[in-house]
Amino acid sequence: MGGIGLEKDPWNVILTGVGGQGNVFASRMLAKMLAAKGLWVTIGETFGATQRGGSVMSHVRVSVDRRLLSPQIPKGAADWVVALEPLEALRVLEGFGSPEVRMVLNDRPVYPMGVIAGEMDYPTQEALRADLDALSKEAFWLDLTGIAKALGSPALASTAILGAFVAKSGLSLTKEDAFLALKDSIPEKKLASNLEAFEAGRLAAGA
Amino acid sequence: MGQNSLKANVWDAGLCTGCGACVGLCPYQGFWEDDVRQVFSCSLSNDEGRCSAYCPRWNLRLSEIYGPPSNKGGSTPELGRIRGYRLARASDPMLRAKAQHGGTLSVLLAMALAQGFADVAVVAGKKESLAMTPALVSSPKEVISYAGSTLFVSPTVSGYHAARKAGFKRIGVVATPCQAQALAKIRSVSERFEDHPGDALSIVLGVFCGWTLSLRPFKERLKELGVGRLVAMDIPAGKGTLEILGDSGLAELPFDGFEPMIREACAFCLDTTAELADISVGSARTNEPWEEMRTWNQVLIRSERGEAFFSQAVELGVLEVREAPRGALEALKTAARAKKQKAIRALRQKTGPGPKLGYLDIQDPFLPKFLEAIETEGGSHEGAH
Amino acid sequence: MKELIEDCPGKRALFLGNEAIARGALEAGLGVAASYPGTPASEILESLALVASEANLYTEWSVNEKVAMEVAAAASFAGIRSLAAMKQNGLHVGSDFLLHLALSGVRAGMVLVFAEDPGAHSSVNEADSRYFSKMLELPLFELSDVESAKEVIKLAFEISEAFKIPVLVRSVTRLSHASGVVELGPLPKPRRNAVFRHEGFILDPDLGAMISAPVPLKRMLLQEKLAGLKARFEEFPLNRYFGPDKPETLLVASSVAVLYAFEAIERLSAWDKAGLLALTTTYPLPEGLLKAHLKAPGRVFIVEEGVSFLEQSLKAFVAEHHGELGQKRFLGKDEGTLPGVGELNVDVVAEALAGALGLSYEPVPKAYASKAAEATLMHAPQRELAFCPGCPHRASFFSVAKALALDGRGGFVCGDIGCYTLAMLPAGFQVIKTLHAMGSGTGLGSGFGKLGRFGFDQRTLSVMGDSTFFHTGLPALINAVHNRSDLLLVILDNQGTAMTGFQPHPGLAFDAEGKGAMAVDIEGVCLAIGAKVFVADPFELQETERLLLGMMGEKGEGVRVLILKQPCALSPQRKGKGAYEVAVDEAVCLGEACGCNRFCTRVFRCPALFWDKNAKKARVDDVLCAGCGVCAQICPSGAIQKKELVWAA
Ligand SMILES: Cc1cc2nc3c(=O)[nH]c(=O)nc-3n(C[C@H](O)[C@H](O)[C@H](O)COP(=O)(O)OP(=O)(O)OC[C@H]3O[C@@H](n4cnc5c(N)ncnc54)[C@H](O)[C@@H]3O)c2cc1C
Ligand code: SF4
Ligand code: SF4
Ligand code: SF4
Ligand code: SF4
Repeated sequence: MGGIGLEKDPWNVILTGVGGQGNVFASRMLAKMLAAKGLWVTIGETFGATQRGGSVMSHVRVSVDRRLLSPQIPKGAADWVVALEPLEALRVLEGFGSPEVRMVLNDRPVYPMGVIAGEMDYPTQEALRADLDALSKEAFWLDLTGIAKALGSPALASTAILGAFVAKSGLSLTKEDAFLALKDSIPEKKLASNLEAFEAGRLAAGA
Repeated sequence: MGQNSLKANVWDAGLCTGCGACVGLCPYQGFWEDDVRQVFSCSLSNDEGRCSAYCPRWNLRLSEIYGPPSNKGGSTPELGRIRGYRLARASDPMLRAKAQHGGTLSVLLAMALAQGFADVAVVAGKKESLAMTPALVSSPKEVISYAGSTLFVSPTVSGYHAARKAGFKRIGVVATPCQAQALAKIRSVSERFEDHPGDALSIVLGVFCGWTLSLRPFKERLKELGVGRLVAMDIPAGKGTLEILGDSGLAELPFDGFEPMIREACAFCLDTTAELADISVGSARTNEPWEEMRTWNQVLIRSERGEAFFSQAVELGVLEVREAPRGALEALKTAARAKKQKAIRALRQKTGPGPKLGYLDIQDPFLPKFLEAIETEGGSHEGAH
Repeated sequence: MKELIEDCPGKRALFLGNEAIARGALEAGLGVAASYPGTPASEILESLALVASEANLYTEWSVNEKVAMEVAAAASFAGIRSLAAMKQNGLHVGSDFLLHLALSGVRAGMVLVFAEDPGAHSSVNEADSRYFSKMLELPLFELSDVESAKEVIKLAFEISEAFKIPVLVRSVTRLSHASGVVELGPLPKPRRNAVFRHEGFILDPDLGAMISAPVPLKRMLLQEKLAGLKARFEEFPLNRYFGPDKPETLLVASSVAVLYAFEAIERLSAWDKAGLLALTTTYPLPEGLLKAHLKAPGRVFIVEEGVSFLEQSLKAFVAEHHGELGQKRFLGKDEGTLPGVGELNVDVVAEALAGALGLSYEPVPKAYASKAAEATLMHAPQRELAFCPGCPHRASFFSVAKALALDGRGGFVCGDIGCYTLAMLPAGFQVIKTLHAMGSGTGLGSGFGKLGRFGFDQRTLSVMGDSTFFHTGLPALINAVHNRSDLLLVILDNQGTAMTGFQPHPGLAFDAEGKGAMAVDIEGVCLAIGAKVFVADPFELQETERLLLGMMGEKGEGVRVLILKQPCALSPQRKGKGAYEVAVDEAVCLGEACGCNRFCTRVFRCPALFWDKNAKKARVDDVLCAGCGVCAQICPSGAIQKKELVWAA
């Protein structure tokens, strides 16, 4: 079983962000790494509006045994929220958070259309941080878009956040596991930069 | 709301003249066929917006567009300021043949450009579809190709905006009464805007106007009549008919059939003779047969500038002039007063009881005097304007 | 997708629900698959097409779902196992064929998967199409979880072939688009030899003609098959029971509701009181199995999404056998224990079940829930849907909106199905005023265009995409032309089925497997029908507007077609290759002032344009900008400037 123990069973992780940020890709990669360790994994995701700037969420559920699990995590049952966009984390907490939830957050906002158009306000960093701190047990903020940009593309934030999440949640998953999960699903020329981003995310999170 | 005021109080209320003053300022309004349309909705307020500020059918203060009463030049409530009253026509018969009547307007316009009264002139251009579109003319030679009247609305004032955008600083405009009112309103609010939009207006040549026809029903009628392409149209004096010259020949039809096509907004118009122009030109009314009469214009000279300008045209020999027959001015006054009285009645009916009076600003201290002068049967109070 | 055709029995792979369905078909020896793209079904054919040559399959994106069923049926008639896949609407589109296919029967196993969308995530309906099974007398399987979906599909093929009957399989978004771990089975290497036998006796299922007549005899045969199926389903391995032998309350569930019911019981720790009968074969129902489980409980709670299909069947069944089963109390949709619309989930079922069992369900502490709700309300602005940066539809609808407004004759747009349905929202200037099925925009337009004699003088525009044109738009267009309807049809040709992921359609020169195909020319087809046709590039706003205004037409003018051609911004040919570098010149930008009033961000609303509140200027986000250059044409002050970019071929 590769030595992965779960702090809870089923263990529930929600990855969230905005369409186009690579949320679906990240959830698949996480699930693949865990499945490769012999765990039973499900992903529930909302496609549809993913390419049009809408909110996107993927629910990853992990268990040691094969069992019937709803692909959608029940209310209040998220153990971790991994957010590529901080406002989306807040939205997720309203449905799935609890005082026990922990979070890894990319601090880069992606503004909704109404904000871009100057009709609505995006909350200030402070207000958003205060909300998220009050609604979680722990919240780790990282500049993952910055890390990704330094590696050549803001799109790499999705792999970087996985690295950070793996480090923070104590999953014993390495760059090697990331390699195995990625090698068949992305073009070869993108492999190296994604692995680098994974590793950079891990290090940024203190691994 | 700038645009919302227009939408609720002008367009949807059937008051829009189609003058074009609100068009071409921004992407929110457009002109198509003979109507202004809201294309997208704008959220600016009346204080910020130019469209409502310029519109002659929204919050119009007569005192502001006419300016303070002046002693020079007799001012009549029916016809506005009058410095001179003549019959005139182009000396060149070739030009007259192409013009609506005597070609006075075309001559004056060409001269304005040639003599540097204006760098560009805004005239009504005709499109294939019969719809009108303002055209900018800067060479005197081109003027003649815009001669002749079409009795539909032209968004001429939007051409003034276009000329300003193109960088012209001295712009002449051929304007119907509503268009002349819009230009006067632009002048009166000019200070409110950083770029002083009224400053570029150098001369306004007015066209008399009784009403305009709505384009769509008129086109349908043309189709029914099998007229083909419309070449010219006119209202021969005293005949109660409409002349339509198409490429299949001339038709003279009873006007009754066209009356329902008169643009709704024209029923609320207070001006027949383009009172706010420097010079106003209409068809002549004489005792001669129509064939002769139509080759003359009656001309009202209004401003000092207009007077100087007109004299120059006569001196240069491009205009022939003669005195108007006796009683002609009185007849014109009577007609103009009748139009004003009808419009005030229509406005009263539209706005119902209470102090509101359509597009006229009732705070205007000048308004009661004006109403009294017009509504008092027959009486002509000198100096009301 | 290597794992899809990995012949490595026992290995576990993470599959999308739709991939599990595809794998099931492959393990069953599939030969032919046909589909029409539609969320949430598209990935079934997409993944099969990817492995088509390696697995020696024939796969195609058919022109519509009816033809997909026909293509699949032909394979089955010739002895090749086949699959037709579609979203829920497709079953309705193809139902006429299916009605007859039920009677003619099939030969090699034929499975029809329809993926439904409870909650209407990516549909404009919430169809529950299960009644087709009863109506057409065809067996119905409902998939409940990714892990078992593959097995069910395999069984569906076997049963179809054994009973010579097409099998309907229902998936839903939460299954098709969920992923799970699947244990791979062996991949057969069938030797396929297609032959169509047709010279035997008409009622001979193997040698006769495949015809739905003589109707009474064929129906009798069909009903015999159903009786056999009923018996077969008693032993069906994926009709499962969980819970105590004699529960107080029995939950009966199908589809993903099985998972919700299971987890709800678990979350309420109610396995002592409640049992769960999870059914895969919901038509015809296995009567012995039902009797065995329905005897003990006094209460039966039916958990299903859509209409009360299972609930009604069970009520009828219990009424029929009340002597044996006794009085029951039924809970479900009919009396409101479960909501009548929308999706279910664990919480909805748990709450309902808690109510029924007298338990309480509070998954989140109240204080936390209200704090979270307040923070979201105060600080989380909604994300409105918008066309992508560089989307041709924004440009097209901008011109349509302008032309309609200028024309001023109360014109409106009959919409159709595709990304462009967003034109009912501010994203598309709210011009779409009717929206129904594929091709219906043009059918409705054809009808509106004949109302002139009743005084109707509004202009009618219909829009449809290139894929929709072929799907069902064409008959509607022919109808309009033939009947001289007063219609302006705008075809938004973005060169692919963009909404569902760029599947090819008959207008393109390649097929589902990426091989060369005959491209059918839309313009040529329209001309041949007899419509007046113009073609323009929607990015040329002035020209498009001019054409539209000129084509608005007069009463009784007949059909005009405007084809607006520009590939989708996300299409492989355009993605990452902007035509222009675009920037706002701050010194020129009018911002909020009269003359602009933030036209680009407030009205045009390309997501790559944003309003800088502090500077009070518009800006271009160069990460998001697709470089289409359209905004430079709409800026009233010329502040948006574009510089042409050159890309190496
Ligand atoms: C809508 C309309 C109604 C009129 N009603 C009357 C009336 O009731 N009584 C009367 O005496 N005269 C009326 N006239 C004026 C008359 O038709 C002649 O324009 C006028 O006599 C000048 O003749 P002209 O030969 O000097 O003009 P021309 O030398 O032929 O020049 C005509 C000028 O008028 C402009 N013009 C043409 N059509 C329009 C239009 N639709 N809107 C704005 N400008 C236009 C052209 O650009 C051109 O510059 C009307 C004119 C219009 C346009
Ligand atoms: S307020 Fe200004 S920007 Fe708005 S519609 Fe009027 S003129 Fe245009
Ligand atoms: S009257 Fe003139 S300014 Fe007023 S709304 Fe009509 S066209 Fe615009
Ligand atoms: S449309 Fe042009 S002028 Fe107006 S806000 Fe945008 S960039 Fe500035
Ligand atoms: S060029 Fe303009 S309209 Fe096109 S994607 Fe960029 S910002 Fe949007």
